[in-house]
Amino acid sequence: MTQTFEQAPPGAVIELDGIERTYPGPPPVPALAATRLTIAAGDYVAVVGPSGSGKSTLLNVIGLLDVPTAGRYVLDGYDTGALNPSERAALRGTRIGFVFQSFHLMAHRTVLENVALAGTYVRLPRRRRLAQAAEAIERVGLGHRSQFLPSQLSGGERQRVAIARAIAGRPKVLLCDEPTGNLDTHRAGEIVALFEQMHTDGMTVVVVTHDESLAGRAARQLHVRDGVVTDAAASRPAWAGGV
Amino acid sequence: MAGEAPAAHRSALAAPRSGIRVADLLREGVASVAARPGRSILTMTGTVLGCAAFLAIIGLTSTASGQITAQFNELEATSVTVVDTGVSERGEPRYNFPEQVGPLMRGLNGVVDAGVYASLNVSETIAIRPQVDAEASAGSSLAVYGGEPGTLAAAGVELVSGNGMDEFHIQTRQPVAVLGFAAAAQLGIASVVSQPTVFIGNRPYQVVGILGQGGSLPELGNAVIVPIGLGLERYGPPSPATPAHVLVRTDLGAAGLIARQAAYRLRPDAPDLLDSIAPPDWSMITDDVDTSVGTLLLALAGIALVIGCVAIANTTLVAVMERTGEIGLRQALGAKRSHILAQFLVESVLLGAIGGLLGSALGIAAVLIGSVSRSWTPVLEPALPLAAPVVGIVVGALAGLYPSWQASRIPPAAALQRV
Repeated sequence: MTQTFEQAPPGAVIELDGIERTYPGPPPVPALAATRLTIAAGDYVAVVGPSGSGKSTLLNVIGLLDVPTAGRYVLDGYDTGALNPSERAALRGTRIGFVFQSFHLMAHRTVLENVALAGTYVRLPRRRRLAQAAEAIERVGLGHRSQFLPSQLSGGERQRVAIARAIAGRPKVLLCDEPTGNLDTHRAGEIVALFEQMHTDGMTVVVVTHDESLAGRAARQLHVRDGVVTDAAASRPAWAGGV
Repeated sequence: MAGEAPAAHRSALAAPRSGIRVADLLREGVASVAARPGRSILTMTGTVLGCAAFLAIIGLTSTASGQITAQFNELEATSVTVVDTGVSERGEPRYNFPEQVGPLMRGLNGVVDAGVYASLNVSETIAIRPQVDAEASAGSSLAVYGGEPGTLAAAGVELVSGNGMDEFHIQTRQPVAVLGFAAAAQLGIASVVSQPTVFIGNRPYQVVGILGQGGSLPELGNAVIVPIGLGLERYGPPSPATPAHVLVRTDLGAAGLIARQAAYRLRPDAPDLLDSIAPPDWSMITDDVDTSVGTLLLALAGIALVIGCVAIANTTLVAVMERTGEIGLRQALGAKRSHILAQFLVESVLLGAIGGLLGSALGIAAVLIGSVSRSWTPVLEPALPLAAPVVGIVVGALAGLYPSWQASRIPPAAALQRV
């Protein structure tokens, strides 16, 4: 609708233009300054920065978990500011796969049931959810564990279940919040390998992390400091830059 | 997607909408309730007890009143007995009823039939031949009663042979007799066709009727019944220990009125010499039971239901706090606030409904045990067992409203951070 976005590059899946997020006071806390950011389809982006820098806010805005106080956010071609809550929720459920530090698996459901929860809130029939869940579980290499309860799995396996749930609905973006924060180095390596495989398969991966080794393996790094997002690598085309 | 982006963005109208299938919503609710069976059962306990108490109280009350109704049959409800005090004002034994009780009572509106019966003091033997010698006596165990035609009609006892006494026999004091079925068997008289005669002492009485079994005066089965006037004339007044009675058969509902009128009808000059006994009015008694004890118990059942409601509300509220992460996750997967609300509401309604069902079963069991142990017929309104789960659903819904609303108020970002 604005000229800005009509000039956006082909293949952009996330486009932030002048996005701000200020938490209401008193006194008002600006968590994210006016941010311009474009993430292309198939990108592998790491977001790094100290605690309280605003990277969680950025993640929440990108994941449609939080509403920016100013600016425009276009996700997969949808201008999210124009959407009603039902449409925002559905877009969240279909375009974005979330991976959390604490896995958020339901303890009393099997691996298959946990993964099959994806799609429930966009009226996907149960049979189809189960089929896509089984496929996703195979992709993360846990086919032999699908009838296990989360409590019977190791930390790394649990995170792989969470990743399977995130990718089951074939989202455009995999949004990961400290995905290796609860894992030892070895398990973390497995998870990183999995993200790289997703990236290779064409998935857009955005990882928020403190983990330097994880961030270093991403194709692109964004630094967040005091609510300001900067592109770490200069090896990017100008349109992809932040600030 | 890569090829379609550069131009205008897709219209908001084309965006997918969040939604959940009803079957999935129910499945999620059942899974959550079943995931913590111990807690779910404890949570339901109040509802179970409330519904069970509710059903048991109503069931047992209706069973008890059904039992009373069964006892309160028509024969009893229409019987009025008037008892002679059996003594004069000076305390001497005396027969205080007037002559012709039956016609007198039948003059009252509401009386179907009536007649006197009185056990007479007869020391002579009763046999089918005159008393030649004391050894020959056969009927020493038989009783002699004075009676009227109306007595037999009012008692509802049928004649199996003969026509019985009539008013002519009474008025003219004919020496006739009607035999009770046992007395007839003992005397060896099966029919009046051969015009049999019984002798009381040496006085002959022609048998004009033989009674069948049944009726409300079983004492007549063993009796030789003679016209009351003749009996009093020959054997004197009944002893005050076994005074004369008048049995009155009334129309349904008239018993109380007739009982109040009878003494004045029979002895307007001295009604105090007679006592009327009306059948008890059971409906008033059971009303008392229903209103006092029943209300108290129902109030207790109501309190149990309120406690059940609070228990479900409390558990759901705790569950909302515990499952904040799950709430965030569901929102991340596309759930709207209304879906979160529905999720927790379904769970609390399920708890209430299952509690109501269990309570219904328990309540019916209590009614059955309570009535079987007293050999009563259990009586329960058929809709009541269905009402209990409905009550449970209402309890669950009320209990779930506030916690579900609270759950739906948690913003997704906050829900995911609070773990």
